Amino acid sequence: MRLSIPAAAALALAVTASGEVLKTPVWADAPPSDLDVEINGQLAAPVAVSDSDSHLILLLVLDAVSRPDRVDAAREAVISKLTELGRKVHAGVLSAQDGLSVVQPPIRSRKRLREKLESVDVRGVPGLLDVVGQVSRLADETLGAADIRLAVLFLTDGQIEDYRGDYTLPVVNPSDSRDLSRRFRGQLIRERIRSVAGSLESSQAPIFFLHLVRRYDDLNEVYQNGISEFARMTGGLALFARAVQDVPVMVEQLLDEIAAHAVLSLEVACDGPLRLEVMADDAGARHKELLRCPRPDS
Amino acid sequence: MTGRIGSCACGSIFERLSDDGWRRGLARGAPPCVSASLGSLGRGAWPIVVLEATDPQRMSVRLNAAGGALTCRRVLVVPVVLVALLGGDAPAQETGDAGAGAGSATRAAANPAAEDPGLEQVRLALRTFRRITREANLLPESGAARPELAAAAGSALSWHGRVFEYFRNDVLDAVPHEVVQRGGERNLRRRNQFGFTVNGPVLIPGLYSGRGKSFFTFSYEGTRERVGRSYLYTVPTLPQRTADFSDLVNRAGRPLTVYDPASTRRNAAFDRSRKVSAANLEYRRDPFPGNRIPLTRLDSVATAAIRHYPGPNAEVGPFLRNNYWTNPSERSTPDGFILRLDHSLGAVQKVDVSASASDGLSDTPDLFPTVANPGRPDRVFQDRAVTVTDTVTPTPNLTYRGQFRAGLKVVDTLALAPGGDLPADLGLRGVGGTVFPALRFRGYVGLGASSQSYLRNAFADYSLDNQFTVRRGGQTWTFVSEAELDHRNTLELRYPSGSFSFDDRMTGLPGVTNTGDGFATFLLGAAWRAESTDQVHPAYLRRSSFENALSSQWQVSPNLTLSYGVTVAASGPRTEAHDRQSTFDPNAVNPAAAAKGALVFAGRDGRRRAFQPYRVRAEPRVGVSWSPTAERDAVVRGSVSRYVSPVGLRSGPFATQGFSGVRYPVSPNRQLVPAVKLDQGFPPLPYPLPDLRPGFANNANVDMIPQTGAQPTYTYFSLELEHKLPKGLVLRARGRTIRARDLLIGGHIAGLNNVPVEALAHRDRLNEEGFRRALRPFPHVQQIQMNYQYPAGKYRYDEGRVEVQKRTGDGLSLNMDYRFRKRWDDYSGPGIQDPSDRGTAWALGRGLSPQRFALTYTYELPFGRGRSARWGSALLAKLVSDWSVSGYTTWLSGDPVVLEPLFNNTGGIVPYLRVDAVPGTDPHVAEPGPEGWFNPQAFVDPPDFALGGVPRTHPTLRNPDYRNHDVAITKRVVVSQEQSVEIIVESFNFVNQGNWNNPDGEIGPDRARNANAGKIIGSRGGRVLQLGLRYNF
Repeated sequence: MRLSIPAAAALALAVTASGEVLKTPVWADAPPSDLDVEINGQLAAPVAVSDSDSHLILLLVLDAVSRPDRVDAAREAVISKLTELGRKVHAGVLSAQDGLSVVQPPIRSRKRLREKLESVDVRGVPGLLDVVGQVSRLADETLGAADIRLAVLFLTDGQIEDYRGDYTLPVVNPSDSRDLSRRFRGQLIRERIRSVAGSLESSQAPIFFLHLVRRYDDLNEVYQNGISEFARMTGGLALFARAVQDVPVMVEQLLDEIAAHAVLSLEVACDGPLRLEVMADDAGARHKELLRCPRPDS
Repeated sequence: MTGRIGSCACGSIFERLSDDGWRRGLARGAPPCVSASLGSLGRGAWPIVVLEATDPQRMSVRLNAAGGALTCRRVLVVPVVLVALLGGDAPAQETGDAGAGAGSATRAAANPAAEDPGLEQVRLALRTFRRITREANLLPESGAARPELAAAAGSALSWHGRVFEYFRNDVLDAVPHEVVQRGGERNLRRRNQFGFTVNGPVLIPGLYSGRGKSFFTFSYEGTRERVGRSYLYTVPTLPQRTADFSDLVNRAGRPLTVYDPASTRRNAAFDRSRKVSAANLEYRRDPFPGNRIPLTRLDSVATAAIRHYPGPNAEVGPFLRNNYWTNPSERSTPDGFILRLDHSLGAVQKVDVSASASDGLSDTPDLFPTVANPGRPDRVFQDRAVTVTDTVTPTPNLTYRGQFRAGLKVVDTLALAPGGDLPADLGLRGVGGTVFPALRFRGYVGLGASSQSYLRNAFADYSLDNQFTVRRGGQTWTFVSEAELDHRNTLELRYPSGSFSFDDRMTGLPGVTNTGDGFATFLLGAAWRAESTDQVHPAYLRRSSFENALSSQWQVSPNLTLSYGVTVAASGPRTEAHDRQSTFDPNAVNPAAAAKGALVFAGRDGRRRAFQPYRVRAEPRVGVSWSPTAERDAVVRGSVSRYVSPVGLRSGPFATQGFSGVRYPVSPNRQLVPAVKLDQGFPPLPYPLPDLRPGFANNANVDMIPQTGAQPTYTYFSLELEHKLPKGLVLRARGRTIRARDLLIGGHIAGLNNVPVEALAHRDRLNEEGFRRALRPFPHVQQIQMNYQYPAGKYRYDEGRVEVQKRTGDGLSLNMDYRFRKRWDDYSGPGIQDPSDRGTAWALGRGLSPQRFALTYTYELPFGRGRSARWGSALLAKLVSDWSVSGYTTWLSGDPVVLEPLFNNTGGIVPYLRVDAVPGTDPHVAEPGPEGWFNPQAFVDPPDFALGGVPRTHPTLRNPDYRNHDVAITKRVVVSQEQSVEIIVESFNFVNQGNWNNPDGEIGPDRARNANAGKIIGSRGGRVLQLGLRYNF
């Protein structure tokens, strides 16, 4: 199985059952005719496919609050790589700090994209945990409206201590010397991550994350593990820059990965989680393991 | 539905085809004005414009084309959608072409809608995108400077938070090892910790809605706790309490004789050419008949005090030792809150306010159930803090952050001190306090609280920070300026009712160790050392400091980043608000002693208010980050930096002598004459306070504020490699070394007024205060105390560290961290043998474990919802879903063993004596265990009036290691998308590991070896279970 396949083949797979059409990203080297798709062990065929040559909508979500140097490096690398990827990539800009907002709906103009990316200031309170579910729903509905590919790329530099949500269990009573409730200090962060992950269970558009500042303390490790989990659940990928020079390389790696994916549209019966298997004769395929229909109330 | 086509002119076309501006324009009845650059349109192309409008009847489409290159050809109106087919080759504006590299493709597509059906799908998707974002109020308002803030209102509407309770009870715990070993069956533990947190936008119904701009977080937490503590001590036996010492034995189990100090007389047969010994006594004393002190000889104060001294209740041994075990409880009842507010002022400014308060009572365990409890008195705590932060970002390249912080910490034991006049009840005169006096006997647990137990301290600090971050030319510069003011209002009474120490010398044979007994001396009321504190005012100590720091980083190449910076800071000297400050000045004339070295007073006799200079420090630092491979799978980091630690403002009445006083009577010969006889009481101060004579502290310990600009300085060197490994592993290997100098040490380690160790040659004459004082650099004072502010220590620290992390993203994360480290220093430990030659004290640092391993892990169990495909029923899926296990495992290797002599016969000039090694004897044992952790026969007390030769900490012997395993299991129950309940079970030391205590390191001379040396008495620790319930909303 490969994680990054720049020249992924177009895939057209469908599963027929009475129910909803779900979309899921797939990375594979093999041509579509060589792929077998199974859902819950049953051979399935997709009703439509958007291959890796089809148009791609990319939602760039900036969650930049503390490190302008790295954010600048990321912006520059994104523009450079999108220019290289060509006109079939339509990129929009959203801002996550202090709540989600659309800075620029998807466009092809790189000049305008650059202006809009640079218009997002590095300040405020990080919002990744608060908006990732919202972004996922926005992405899924947009993806569901047409036969396109759509991916989300978060560019974030926030640390868990900066959130309003008080996930770090600050000591309230310094004189309480036998307080063991803070021994496992990551619990609140994990709970929040589980809550957010619950909102991503039925996600269809892959979400990628580039954390611009990898941190090594226990609490941020939990937070960063959560980001990795969000990426895994949605079929995306999370990378963490250890130094500013990592940023352009990781941007390129993520955008290559995004550009290489195909989207399968599968008609499924929505009676619970669905285990997906995509197999190729000679080559591996990367894909989500579980599919789930959106809940009626979500 | 119909539409109307207006005139077409190039230069603009529809932008944001269905945004709020369009809708609003229609609603106002004005023609909507939406425009966009068409970009490079080629003739013959037919872009399609799709409009979504609420009222197409009123819709007009106007195309403006500069140069007249555009022609409107046809408009197709469909329900709710208006499609205009126009001349030119641009597709919908969202996919317009202005970016580099896109132009050629545009030219090649004469009719993209026809040739690339994918574009139509893109448009469909974008319509959906716009509709959703409009409905969610996420789209920017036209012309808004910070549209994201306007949209935030839609994303943070509700309040969130949690309510929790943590519960501990000894029914759930294992009985601690130390309790089991003493025959105990339970260790009291009752603990409830509860609270809540809520956060969200500030909403005051009818008055204010802070949605999108004002947010708050409020946390409350309270604890109610009672917990047992276990202690093992030695107290006098029942016969000894009645002055019958017939059962008295030494550490080797051999009988000890108690001598009558009243029978002391010179030995006419003493041979001065030979060492003092039992066979060649300088002074003779008669033993008490039958080793019993006549009751008529007992001191009245001692007799009264002993009523508050509990008798033995255990027989741990050996030799009647470790005979008092107690398991009292302590109580703690803190309550506190933290409130945070943040408010956006326009688009570029944000203000954060944080306030916290906590009140607590720590009802500490009573080691004795009497007023003579030697434990710490009960304490009242108060913590208050307010922080205001203003963040302004006037341009994307400039950020300013200003922060003001004020904090207050109060610790008070005087408020809870027992009432009455306990010294008067005992018949003890001449002391100012009302609490039980501190009575200390060598070899036994004492009576009365330890030093500095009675205090009322209020520490306040105020700081103002300004930070500017500027981006310029690809570099980011950060400038930080900080001003800080420390206030310490401190009333610390070391010994308000006096401290009295009793040793075996007064009831032993003068000059001969292993004779006499400290408790017997106490019964006679003959204290060799005594001290009483007279402090009438709190000290109001003040200090200010300023710091400026500039830092930046520069990306030298795509693989190499350099970071650098410098901090320049100045620390002000300590002042006292009312100039009630003094110091010992070695050069000041002391008229009473007719010598140099006297107390001087701040703000008097032409002196400044402070005794220290302003200390300026510069801290440069440089770091490099290098990615050696094109794949960026490795990063090498290196750094060199210097850190100068400012000298802190300590609490207590240090250096306020003259305004406060310590009465410190000195015995002319501690073997022969007591400093104080209990029933005679303390001599009064010769003059009332304040007493500002230069000789105020003559014959006593003096406080000295070092008047030097030196400050603790650390130089760091570090090198780190971070490398990605297969299977999601990340390896970090680090090396670090620190060199430190001018570290702050205490006066007893500095030893500025110590008698030189060469004077040991005078042997027993050193017991005479008159002789000894002549050998001191400042004969008219005793010790020069520094309050750990003398900058003379040094250390070296080397560390190698390997860390392996695994992060799978599917619920498993673990981190293994191993460190090997060594620290050498010349000051750690209780003291050093020869302060004049600290080089001989250079040894492994005390208390530092050379090896440390830690494993941290979290595993979200791979079952249930979102993790595995099917679990049959929904109930079963709920049951097996959302379980997680977390844990910490820690292993610390033992720190270096510290060996001490049982006896110290050096005339009082070497307070911290080391032991000698026995040549040819291996200190290690084949199988270390509680019966023999090391071989005590490899060591021996040094001879009388001689230094020991074994290093301060042993180079190869290590104390027992320490292991601990904590684990937490959490089950999360989802109530709704926003609500959950967590059931938490946390087990600390869940394998119920007992960790051995350190071995007894007191050795003894050949004739009286400590039978316990090298042995371990007991282990400690036990499993503690905590249950938690948390509701998150």
